Amino acid sequence: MGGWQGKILRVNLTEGTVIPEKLNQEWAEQYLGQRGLASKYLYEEMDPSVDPLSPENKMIIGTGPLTGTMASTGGRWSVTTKGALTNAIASSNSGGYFGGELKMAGWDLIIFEGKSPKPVYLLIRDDDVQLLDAKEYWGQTVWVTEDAIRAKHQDPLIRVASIGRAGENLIRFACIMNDKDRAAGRSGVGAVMGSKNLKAIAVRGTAGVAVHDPARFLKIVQEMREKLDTHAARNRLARVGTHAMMDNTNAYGSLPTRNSRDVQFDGHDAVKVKTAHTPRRNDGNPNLISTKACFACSIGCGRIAKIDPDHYSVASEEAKIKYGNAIGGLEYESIFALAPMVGCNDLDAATYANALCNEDGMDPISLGGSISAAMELFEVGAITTEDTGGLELKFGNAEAMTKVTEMIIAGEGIGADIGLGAQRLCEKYGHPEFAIVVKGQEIPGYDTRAMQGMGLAYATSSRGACHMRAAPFVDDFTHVRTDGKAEIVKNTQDVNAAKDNTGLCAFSGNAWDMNDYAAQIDAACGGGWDEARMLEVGERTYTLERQFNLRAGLTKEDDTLPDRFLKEAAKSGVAKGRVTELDKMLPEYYELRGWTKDGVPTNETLDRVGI
Amino acid sequence: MKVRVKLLSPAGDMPKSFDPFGEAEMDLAAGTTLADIMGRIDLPKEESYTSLVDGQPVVPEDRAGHALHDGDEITLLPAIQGG
Repeated sequence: MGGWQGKILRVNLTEGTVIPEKLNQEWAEQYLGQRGLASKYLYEEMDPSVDPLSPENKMIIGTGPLTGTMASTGGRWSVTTKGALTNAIASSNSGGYFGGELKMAGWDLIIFEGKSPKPVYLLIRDDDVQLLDAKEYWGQTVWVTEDAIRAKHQDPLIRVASIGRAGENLIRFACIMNDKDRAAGRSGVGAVMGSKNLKAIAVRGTAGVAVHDPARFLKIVQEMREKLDTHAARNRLARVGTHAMMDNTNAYGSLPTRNSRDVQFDGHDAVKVKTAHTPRRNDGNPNLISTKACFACSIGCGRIAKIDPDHYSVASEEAKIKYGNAIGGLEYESIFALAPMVGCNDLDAATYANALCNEDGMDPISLGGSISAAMELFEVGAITTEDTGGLELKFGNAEAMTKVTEMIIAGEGIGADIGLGAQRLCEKYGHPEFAIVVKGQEIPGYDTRAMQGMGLAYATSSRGACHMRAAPFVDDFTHVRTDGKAEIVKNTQDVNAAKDNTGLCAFSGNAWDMNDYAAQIDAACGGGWDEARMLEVGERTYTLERQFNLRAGLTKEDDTLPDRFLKEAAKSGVAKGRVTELDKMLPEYYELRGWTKDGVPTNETLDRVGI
Repeated sequence: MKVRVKLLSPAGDMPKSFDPFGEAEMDLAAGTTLADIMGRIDLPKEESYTSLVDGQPVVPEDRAGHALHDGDEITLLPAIQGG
């Protein structure tokens, strides 16, 4: 056996016990790893109807069979639980170096159960695993916690995944952060971790990862790296990162702007990728000063930024030290959410708000979507300056956007309400229609009136609005239509689930097809993996997530989109005058999946996919 | 006739005749189609490109029949994935 380590850790936080167990190999071969395998454990062990912030919710840290190997992009790890934001299954995927380190310590999964009576952190040094008192770290940021744990144990190579104050304060869109600016970002997994009084997981691994056929694995990994490294998409990602997407969505008319009231942003020039690369007059630096890569990655899409030294966000000496030097930079999703979505044309304000998200562990997509909802509430008078403490929370007010971000982290004033997420916020203030969410999760950076396939992808995503569960991009960027989208969305949902389960990054999929993933899995794990078997794993995973959500109480009624997309026509762009025609796509999608017209997998389907 | 071409998010080096910001002005013979223009630009073969003429999409199957006119602004963007 290779790829898998064959061991999992079960940590009962209520009892304070840490027990190693043998990996269920049958499940591993059905689901591979990470998202799928963790979902299987969660589905078999937990009642999906539990309150996500209760001790009865479990939280599973997962690696894939290729995590920690030399396969390019093999550094991915995930957090699978019931989402605090969505009440649906959550599986949030992160890069950096933590996942590779955990795998090299000898563990495929960690299952956290219960709730610790006091703040703790888990320290893993290969087989030596301890739950330790985290009193000194509780109340500290992610950045402080990571450095302090490494210093305490006198090992600079320890990798840490932790929550900041957002997770401790149970902000519904809190993340789990690792390597200071990598995030298991979506669905509120950080709030689940906070509800368990678990501050951090620190790991140092020296065991390595064995593979089934080392010579074949080395050969295929080299071939795949050559294929990836010479691909046009890899070139673009390394050079300009995902930020380049904004030129496309703005030109096309699918850039969510001012809480999705608009689909193109008049302030685009100030926040576009070219601006981020253009040196400033005052210090000669551009916003984007360098790039970086995650474990084993040969793409290197990670951004490193430097805020303009004259910007208001770094005016104080303390802020200059914390945020005025090299910090994690903007991805497309963070710049869309912290600029067009809130109507702000201030690149440095977005960079600062993004740094606050990294520092204290918040999802910038949901942050932007929640602030934009608050701004719309403010503009119609449902939220007033009395609620905001005098803050003019209008679209385009960058200082208000960053100030309210600070208030959310601290749980202060209106910040506490915005920290509930857009849906709960808008319900509280009497305008649920302003929440641009699916299953309670704020949309990523694609308006679904121009990108109809993405609309179906959002509506049927197992974890709420998501741009990573399906990949209808190519057809959506060429045809504003509904025909054929159901098949594209269904097929790419299965493909993306299979990819996630391997432990490799989704961006490798720009160059690799499913045969390429299968070849690497087969060399690492053995057992005869091909394209068809990989796609079976993907479909099985997606169907299992559906079953979890149905048992959690979700129904067909949750497979929908905000009214803004269904009833309000796009004002400009390629879809001017159109709405998202979900009703034309959803029935076909259910049929292709082998689900009833109410979105329930039939017994025949469950038998076919092996559930 | 003259048309303006904007190439968004190019991969690798900018194709010939484009300025560093991805823009080019092209002098064309009457009757030149969108497909003709796209055939002349050295775009990566492994990627699909979206074409807009004056902000309106022209789907791949219509490019060969889409004659360009003086003053048209053509925008080409790769169908990339975000993250």
